[in-house]
Amino acid sequence: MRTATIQKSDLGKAIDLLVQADLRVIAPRLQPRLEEDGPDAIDVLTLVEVKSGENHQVGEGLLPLNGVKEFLFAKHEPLFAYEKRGKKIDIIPVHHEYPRTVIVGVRPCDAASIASLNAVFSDANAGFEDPFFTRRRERTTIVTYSCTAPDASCFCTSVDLAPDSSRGSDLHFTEIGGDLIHVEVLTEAGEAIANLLESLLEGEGDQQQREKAGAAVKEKLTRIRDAAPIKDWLDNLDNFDDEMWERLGEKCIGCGSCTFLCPTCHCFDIVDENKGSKGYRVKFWDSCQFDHFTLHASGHNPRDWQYKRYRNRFNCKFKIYPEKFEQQGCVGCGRCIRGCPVNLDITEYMAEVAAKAAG
Amino acid sequence: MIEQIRNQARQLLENGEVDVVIGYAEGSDPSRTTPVFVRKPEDVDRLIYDARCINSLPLYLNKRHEYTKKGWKKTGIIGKGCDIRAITQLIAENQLRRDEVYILGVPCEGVVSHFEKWDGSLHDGNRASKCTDCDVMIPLDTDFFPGEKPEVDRSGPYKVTSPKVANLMGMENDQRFAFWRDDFDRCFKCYACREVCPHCSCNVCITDETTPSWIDPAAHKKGVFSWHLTRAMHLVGRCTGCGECTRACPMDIQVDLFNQRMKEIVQENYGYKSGYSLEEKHPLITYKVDDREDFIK
Amino acid sequence: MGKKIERHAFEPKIMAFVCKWCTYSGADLAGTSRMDYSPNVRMVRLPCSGRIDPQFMIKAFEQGADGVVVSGCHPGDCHYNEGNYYARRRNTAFRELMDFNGIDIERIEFSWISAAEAIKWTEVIDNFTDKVRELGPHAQYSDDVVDPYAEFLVQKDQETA
Repeated sequence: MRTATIQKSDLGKAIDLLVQADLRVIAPRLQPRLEEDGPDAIDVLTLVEVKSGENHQVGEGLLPLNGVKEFLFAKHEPLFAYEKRGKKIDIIPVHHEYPRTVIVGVRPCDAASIASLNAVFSDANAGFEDPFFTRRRERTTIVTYSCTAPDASCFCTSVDLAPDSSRGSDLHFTEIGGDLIHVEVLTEAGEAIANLLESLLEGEGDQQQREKAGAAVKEKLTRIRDAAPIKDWLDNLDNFDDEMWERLGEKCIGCGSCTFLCPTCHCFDIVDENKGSKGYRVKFWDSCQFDHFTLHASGHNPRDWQYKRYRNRFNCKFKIYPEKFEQQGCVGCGRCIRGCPVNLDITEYMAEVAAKAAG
Repeated sequence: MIEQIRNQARQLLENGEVDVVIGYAEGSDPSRTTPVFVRKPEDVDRLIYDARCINSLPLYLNKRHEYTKKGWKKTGIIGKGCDIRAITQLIAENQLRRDEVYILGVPCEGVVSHFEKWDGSLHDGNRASKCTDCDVMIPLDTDFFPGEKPEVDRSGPYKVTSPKVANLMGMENDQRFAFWRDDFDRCFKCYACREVCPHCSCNVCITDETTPSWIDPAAHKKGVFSWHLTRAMHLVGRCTGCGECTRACPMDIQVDLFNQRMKEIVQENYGYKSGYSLEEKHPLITYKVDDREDFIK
Repeated sequence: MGKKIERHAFEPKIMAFVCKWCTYSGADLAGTSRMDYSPNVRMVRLPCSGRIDPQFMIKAFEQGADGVVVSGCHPGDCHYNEGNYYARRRNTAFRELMDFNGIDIERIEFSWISAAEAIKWTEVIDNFTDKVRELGPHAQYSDDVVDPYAEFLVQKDQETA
């Protein structure tokens, strides 16, 4: 594996080089709260497409609000167009663009989530492929950046990840002190990017320092949970009716924030958007936390109480995912905890289950 | 103060006067609090109240959030001023009966605008904008209040508290639209702003109607704009300014600016402030013969 | 003997939501009296101006209207006694909401037109159509907003290098 160093102060130049190479570059951007925005505004860090003249903050802040999900699994996209002429319906194909893309400054949890999405949308499992996702995935290179300052809601180490993990990465950056970043070229796609940044790369990096830095950051995580007993406890279907679900989930309001922020959540809905006799069939994000998610046409709703919907979410991540896809469903990014308006905490569920499993 | 609330809550639960007391408890992090449903008298010690208690608890009295399904005959609820205004508004709209709630009022000195901004104390740098000029720091309608309840003059007009509203009104139309278009680029139609609102109580929200589809569920500009315009319109004269919609937005969009502007319009044109009266009718279901019509040809 | 209606390069699409007892009848009278007025307007007849939901106006813009007219009976003359009073309040609020969103409220016209005021109908429509024609196509509800997926129909090379 090729390694090198790059200066942190050269990251702006790195982005310029990538843009000049005709790639679609996506990087974190901080929109700071201005005085005129008022006290209820907050600094906003999101991953956005680089437009000329704008500054981007790679490696700064903790986690962008949006993650990489929306660049692979679109928030909304047309599947095809149609036109009704009398009794005939013409299906008109739509043409999506799949520009070669590089996403820079991705945190390890987000990078690891891509494998989870891939498990659902590629043909690996069920033999049916979502071509919109797979084409985007093929043409996207992920440049990750190890975390340096996890916050109280991060819990990646509890789900078999680490703040310096390179899982899912093509090109991995880790700060090693001074202005230096240790670069690891992990895949061919990563090598292609490294070649474009050749003028900024030097030497062979410092593997020891990189490992030390990574280990030091791991110590900073305070939210530690034991995930090992969870799946077995969930596999025991008697526990499906445990009192814990209602006690912890009663306050859930079904807002869907957790599912929309979550890097591995991937539920979607399909509707026809009509205008007269023409329209599009559109696929867009949906959430299992919505009250009508499992509403049948008969009026029956198997998940009729909110706590049942949250129970489903927990099961989906910690039982169904590992069973069906041999992938973890949760990457410990903590967005659901930060974003929940009523402080529902998936790690609280994890702790309860671990305690109950221990007896 | 909180001890008195806890004692009262304990008594109410022991007497069976209420089925549950909805309040605030310590959250999963030191900077957070969480809504809690206390059913047993011995659990009342979990109840707390301080400047981190941002949540609007009357949300749980909204039928959309299973209130009617739970079969509670009477619900105790801890209310800070703005929350009690929300309860008053719910009762005024016949979504709730006054005898279904037992309001434990708390004196409030303001709350923090976001958990992330909490640093141990409430100060000008982290206070929510709704807390400036608040006239319900001593709440209006309560069944129990720890200590004396001084008289407060609440006759003053509603004043917009976020400087962003004035900032936006000072812009040209195009600039204002450009601001919203850019801000709403992040919106992915999660409807958290709807779910967290104590007043959003339609059994089937207009966004979930599919035949016909009034509001496209996909998050393109058309779908996003029509949702936010509709939400603002449906809350005209009803929004009690809790600011929860902005706080709940996972993409940190200040959606309550619309509501603040509409409250200003309602004040200017009809002199109405929502959530202060159980009897006063809401402005869009009443009229005066000499209402303003200077914009009508 | 009618007036000459000129057609221009850009002809705005105007939606009109009108109450059947007054404005619609007024427009009808304009028709039976063979009055000429701008043909850009498409009318939707509702029983009362109080029935006009702001949703309709938003939807009109979304479907490509460049201007919207909302019209009903004069206050005091509503067939259902009070409908137009409620409409008046609702429209006051709705107008300000659109303005706050940055949508040009010059593109929404409110009026009271009675069943006898055929001339007023033609004047309101002519003046409004001229005004909207001057304003041009709706900038905020531009094509990419009204038809968000139109660009996907254009033939493009699927394989980019």
